[in-house]
Amino acid sequence: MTTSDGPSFEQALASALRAIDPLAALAELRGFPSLSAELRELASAIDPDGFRLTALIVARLRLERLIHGSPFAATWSDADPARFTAAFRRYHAEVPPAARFPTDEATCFEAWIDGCLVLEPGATTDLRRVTCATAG
Amino acid sequence: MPSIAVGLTLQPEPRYLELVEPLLGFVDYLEVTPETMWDPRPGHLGTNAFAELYFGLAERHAKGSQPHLPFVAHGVGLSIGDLDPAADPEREAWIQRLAQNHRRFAFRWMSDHLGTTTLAGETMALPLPVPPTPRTIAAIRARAPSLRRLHPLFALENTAHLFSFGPPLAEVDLFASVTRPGGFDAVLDLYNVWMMAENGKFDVLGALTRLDLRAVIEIHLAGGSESDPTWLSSGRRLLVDTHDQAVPEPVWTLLDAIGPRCPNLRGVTLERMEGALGPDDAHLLAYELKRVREVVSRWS
Repeated sequence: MTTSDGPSFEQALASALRAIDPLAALAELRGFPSLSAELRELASAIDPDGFRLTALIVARLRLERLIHGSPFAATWSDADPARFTAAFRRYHAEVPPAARFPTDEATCFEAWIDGCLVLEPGATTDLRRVTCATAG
Repeated sequence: MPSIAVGLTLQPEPRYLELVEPLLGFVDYLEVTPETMWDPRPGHLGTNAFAELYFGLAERHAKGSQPHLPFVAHGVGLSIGDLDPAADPEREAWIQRLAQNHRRFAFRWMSDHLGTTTLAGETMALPLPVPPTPRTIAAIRARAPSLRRLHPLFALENTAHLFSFGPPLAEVDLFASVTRPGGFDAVLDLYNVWMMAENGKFDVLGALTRLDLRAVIEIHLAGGSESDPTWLSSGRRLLVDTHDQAVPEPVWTLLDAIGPRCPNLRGVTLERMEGALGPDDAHLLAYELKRVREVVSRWS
């Protein structure tokens, strides 16, 4: 749905749900100058609390799918919850979810991690010494 | 099965299945989510071990001369409200995979959720609301014939959304529009509509009068939870359809009020999510299943 009912309203909505700040992204979507009157009205009616909570649940479901499919992610989350969480947040915001099943999500996450994995000097398999270079 | 049967969801979790097995004497049918039995392989969707676990349970608890307890299918991933033409091939493949399951399980009826689990190709996992426009309504209703070729009884469930495009009642009206005669059958989840009424501050019984209850073939019962006020900067609490708690009393009241007004009702299903059952929950589930049986027996 765009001004001509193409897909970009849906893309913007999907991106807003994954954004680090979903409400800021939703406000930005509402302010698109090219948005049709119908779509602007629909976007304006979205309850911000409900949207924020939905975004949290979407992230949670993706996290569960990942943990279920990736022994690496499951182990990392147990060993270093703070760094894993930071990495997941970044992954969720940067990588549009395309996986329907846990193993597919695992493949996607592990490929993304391969692109940003940094091991502290001397670290071998100690996941507490793993950092994703793109994570905060 | 009885004229209005009592069902229970099965979940793809061995511990859950162990805990509910002793309760299967209280039920007439089992509800399964087909995609939880799928195992993604290159180029196709295989079948995982849960399919046979479910069949084993159903065979061990068969009633009378039946080979196994009957099954019904209730999916989440059909994404019936995704109007992007790019999503059509995947939906068609999904339907074909459902047809394979139906050949094995002989589902008494099938259903999925009203909404979309995909947005512009992104998988949200959770069914999201769709804009209640005439175009959306027409497009969803146009999908009914192909799903009826899959199964003559194919229903959509009223999803519990935390936000909507428009006032909360617009979602009820959308559900009414796609389930009125000529459209889909309906699975009426009473917790979901009660939850939306509580969150959206509308009268739930008044909302239910907007539906054509002749479309309802199944009622779902579940309990949910409240969000943590620290999750939202407003500090607000919202009910969420976690389906992990006992059925709240207002939902039992709704069941009594609405059930007798559904002339084509075939079953009432008690739902629990995976991870929601502990060793001490079996007695609660047993109580709820017996209560459902007592309620539906009064309607006969």
